[in-house]
Amino acid sequence: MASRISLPARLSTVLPILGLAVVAAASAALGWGLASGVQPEPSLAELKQRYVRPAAPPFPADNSYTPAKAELGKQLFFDPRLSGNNDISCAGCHNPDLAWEDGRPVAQSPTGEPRRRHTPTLWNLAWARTFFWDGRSPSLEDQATRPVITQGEMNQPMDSLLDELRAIPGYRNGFADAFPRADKPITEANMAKAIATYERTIVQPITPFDAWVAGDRDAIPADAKRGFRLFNGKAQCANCHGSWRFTRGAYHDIGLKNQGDLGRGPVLDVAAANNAFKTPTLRDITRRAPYMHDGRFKTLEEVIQHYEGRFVRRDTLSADMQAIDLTPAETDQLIAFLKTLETPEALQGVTRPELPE
Amino acid sequence: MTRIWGALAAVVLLAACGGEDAAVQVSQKNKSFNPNQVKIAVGETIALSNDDKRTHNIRVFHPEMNFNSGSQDPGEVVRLTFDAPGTYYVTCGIHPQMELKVTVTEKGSPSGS
Repeated sequence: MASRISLPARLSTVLPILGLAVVAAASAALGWGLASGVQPEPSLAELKQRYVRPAAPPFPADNSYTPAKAELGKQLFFDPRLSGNNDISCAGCHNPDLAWEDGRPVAQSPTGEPRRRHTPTLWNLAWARTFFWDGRSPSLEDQATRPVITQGEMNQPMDSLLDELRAIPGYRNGFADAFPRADKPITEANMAKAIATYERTIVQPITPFDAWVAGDRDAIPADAKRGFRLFNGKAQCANCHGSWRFTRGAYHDIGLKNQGDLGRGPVLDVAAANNAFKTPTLRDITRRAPYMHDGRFKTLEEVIQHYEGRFVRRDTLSADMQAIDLTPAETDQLIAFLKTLETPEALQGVTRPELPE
Repeated sequence: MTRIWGALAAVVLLAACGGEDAAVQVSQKNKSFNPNQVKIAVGETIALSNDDKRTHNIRVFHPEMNFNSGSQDPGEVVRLTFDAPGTYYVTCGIHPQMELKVTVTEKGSPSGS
């Protein structure tokens, strides 16, 4: 049983304003290095420590890693037979050559109609806790098969897909190898487990930034090092993107003019989360234009201009949103830093699997 | 079967609380729980205090408890009473990286945070 006591007064309209004022003052002081009574700016070593990569991706206890499962998941991921018309695979939108996106403002249905949201990258999802821009999926296993059965995406009824897979000897063997204890291994749940296992192996290779954090002092240029300082200080990016994944996985209303999509709010049934979308990773961001959940900005310069105060002030605006003020040189430094998160060219893309017959 | 609203939960205004509170106190600040794990006995209560500058949304998904606080504005306290032993994870729907591990033991077992 639960109860909720009505509040006699709402502090929510007062406290955030006070909070913003306090934080804005503190940030300004930090930005000029004249702070008194505020937390000292962290050392470069402390900052770098926040961005150290973990050694290996985690796998859940109820879907542990095996090479057979990952290989099966890779085949399924790249197989257009998972779609109703056998013409588009998961990789059709999550293209490894395009940093696991599609380069379009918003995703496109197999018949060419625009969907409402930008295709998100798949980098480093093993560490994520919620999936899709609105977080409606609580696990990769839950997420993995949803686009398959969704009209306007892959549009394949699950029953007919499972029948199709059971008729392919290579898949019968692949599922049997991946799930050796199952009497009937070709099921929706096992397909989801295999795809999720493969997706957890999609970890971004070491970037110049990672090499710099690991101790290679010359791995990134001087302007990028200044950009890293801005990222963690004056530009305030780290408020939401400050972790080795360059997202903390939270949902924020960043003041984009609403075009009919309320994002996280309806999923939670919490109006305060309206207009909020998941903070995207910034890894490979220079290869992932256009930007935002609906691809409305073509360049990183436009994105930075948005954060310089061109956002909508409304009740749901994230408490982390404060207008920044960068000089043109600082904007260049920030972008120079973001470029160091790019996958080295030699490591871009993946080898396509041989599909089962 | 999932027991909807499996816990006694209430939201009260922190500012209105003057007296001592026997509940285990957990603060939410800078998008983190502090402490981020507690151990209590069946029937005991945790008071989750939003000391942050942002709205939170307390969630618990567990066979014994399915709880959604709705909006928890700065200054509000969500109280959760656990009536079955087990390990529970309290998260925030808006900031899912926030996680509080609650170990609930039978009465008489050693407990503490």
